Amino acid sequence: MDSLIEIEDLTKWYIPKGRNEDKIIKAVDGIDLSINKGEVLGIIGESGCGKSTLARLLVALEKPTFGSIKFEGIPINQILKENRLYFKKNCQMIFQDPFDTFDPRNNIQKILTTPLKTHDIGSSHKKRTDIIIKVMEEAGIKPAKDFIHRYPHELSGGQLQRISIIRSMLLNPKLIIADEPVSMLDVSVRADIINILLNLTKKHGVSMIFISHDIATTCYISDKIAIMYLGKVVEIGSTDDIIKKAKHPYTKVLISNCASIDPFEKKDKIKVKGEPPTPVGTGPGCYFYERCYKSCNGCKESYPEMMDLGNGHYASCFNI
Amino acid sequence: MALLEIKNLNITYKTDKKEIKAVKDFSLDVEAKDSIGIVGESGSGKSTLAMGILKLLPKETTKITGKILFNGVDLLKLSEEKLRNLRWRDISVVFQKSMNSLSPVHKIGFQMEDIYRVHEPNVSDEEVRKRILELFKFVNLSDRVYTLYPHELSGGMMQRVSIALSLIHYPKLLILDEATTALDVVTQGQILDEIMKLEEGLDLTRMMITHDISVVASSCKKVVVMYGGCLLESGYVQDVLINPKHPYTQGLLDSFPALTGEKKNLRGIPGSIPDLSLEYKSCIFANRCKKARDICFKKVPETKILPNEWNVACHLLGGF
Repeated sequence: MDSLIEIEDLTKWYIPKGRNEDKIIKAVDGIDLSINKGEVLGIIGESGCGKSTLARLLVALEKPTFGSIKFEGIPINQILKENRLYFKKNCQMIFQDPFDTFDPRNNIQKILTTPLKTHDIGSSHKKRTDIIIKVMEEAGIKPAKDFIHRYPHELSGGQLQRISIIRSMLLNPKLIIADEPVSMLDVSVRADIINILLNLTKKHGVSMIFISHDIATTCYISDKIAIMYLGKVVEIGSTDDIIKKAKHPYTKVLISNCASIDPFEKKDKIKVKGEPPTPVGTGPGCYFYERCYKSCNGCKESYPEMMDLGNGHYASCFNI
Repeated sequence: MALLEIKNLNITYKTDKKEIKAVKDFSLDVEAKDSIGIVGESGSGKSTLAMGILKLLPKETTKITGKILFNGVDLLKLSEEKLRNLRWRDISVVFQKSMNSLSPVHKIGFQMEDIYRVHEPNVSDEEVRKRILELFKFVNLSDRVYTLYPHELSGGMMQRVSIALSLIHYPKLLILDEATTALDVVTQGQILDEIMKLEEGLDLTRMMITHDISVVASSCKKVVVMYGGCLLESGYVQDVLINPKHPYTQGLLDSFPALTGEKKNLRGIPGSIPDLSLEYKSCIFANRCKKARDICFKKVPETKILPNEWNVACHLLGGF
């Protein structure tokens, strides 16, 4: 399969005033990833592990400190210089809070026709309106005519998140980055939104990066999963490999602490020491060293390399 | 006699134009040393219920009818002074953002001493300190926290402080209103374990309000399912969550993806939550229910009592 996006050694540091080396916030700290066409990659991590920064880097809302992102083989800096609209059209983002996503002064018609106008799709306002009505009905907002004159505050969270998904799909992008798209929604609505997202991506062959802290939901939606901890990917592999054959202690901790809806399923939760730390002054050893239940002396000295476990499954730990 | 008996409780919010019935004809018995989880989507009235039990709702805009008997005393008839004595000493509550109510300009220890002295003005300094350190041990905080300011703690640690604070006067009833929702999976799992362990030694009844069924499944004995202010189903966790009788409970459980086991399709519940300002002469869930029959739209279902304290409010019970 062809890879759509390739990330090499992607790094984002936030450097405080005075350039104090000890206090650099290493939000994303050297990530290598690639996403194939039509693939859904899930990214899991605790709050503060840099997963949202990664998403913002990918849609060029932030500039990386080092490293490169290649979109269809071409570095995105080059694409942005030569053909900005092409990149913006093909890389779309869905944010966590649908109420913060839209300008409250614009109605749904304006919200959805603006991107079409910008990218010169549809010859007249009426034609563009016809396009959005067709897409809205496809995504389950029926009758769409009743909705297009409403404002964001007149819709429920679930409906508005659907509009957000519709907006991202309108331009037929090649990559969608969904940053916690369902964590604000009620459970009964969540399943619908996830299904719409999955159906649309499968139908149009779109690749997606699904960022979440919810392991069960991510497993449901993704083909491949990457686990992040303090700005680094600690384990990556197919969903089955990650859930059934997790190798990194941190992945094991996350999975064992994921509560089930089955009251009979008693899992032995793996305990970790301490609290999720901040990405300041990390290293030189393994970042998880202090909280790890398997740590040994070697872990303190250098950061473990990614180990190839076959079948696209990689983990970075000395104790595999 | 049950520790807390709620009888035909109605809580109505009054606005200029309409009345919103947030809790409707709600009855529930909570036995001493029970752990009971109340689940429902946003707008189901679960937080209103918690606030109503402690009479924390604004008097001017809310109307409460019915009975809330705590140890046989009707809380709704108590004077403000008597209620003040009862709150925190007998019934305490931890909210989702309880940690935000810690004062940023005082040390944790000072704030806890202050709160301890409200109900026990004549204790010596050593006693207070001993009690607080004992509580720290309960919730797995180090003694160091005593001299720290809230901003020096992580979210999980602050929520632990909130839980420690709520236990300071050995309350009989502890209400946790989404107390672990904002935390990471690993931290949430650990705090839940700590709460359960801590209950073994104390005479404590726990009421856990959450939208996350997995939290209830892993930490509670009984569960109550609320929808639109009504109780739809209640009973022991191993009955209700394994073999749900109410279509809403079934729908809710089908909306949760499972981490292990076979991958089944997620099904949400179509539609959105009911408008609580309307008078319902039908089953409140009827218009979203897949199994609804004629009778569901004509009559409010009575709560049927099955063996093993299992209550279900559905017309179709037994005759699907």
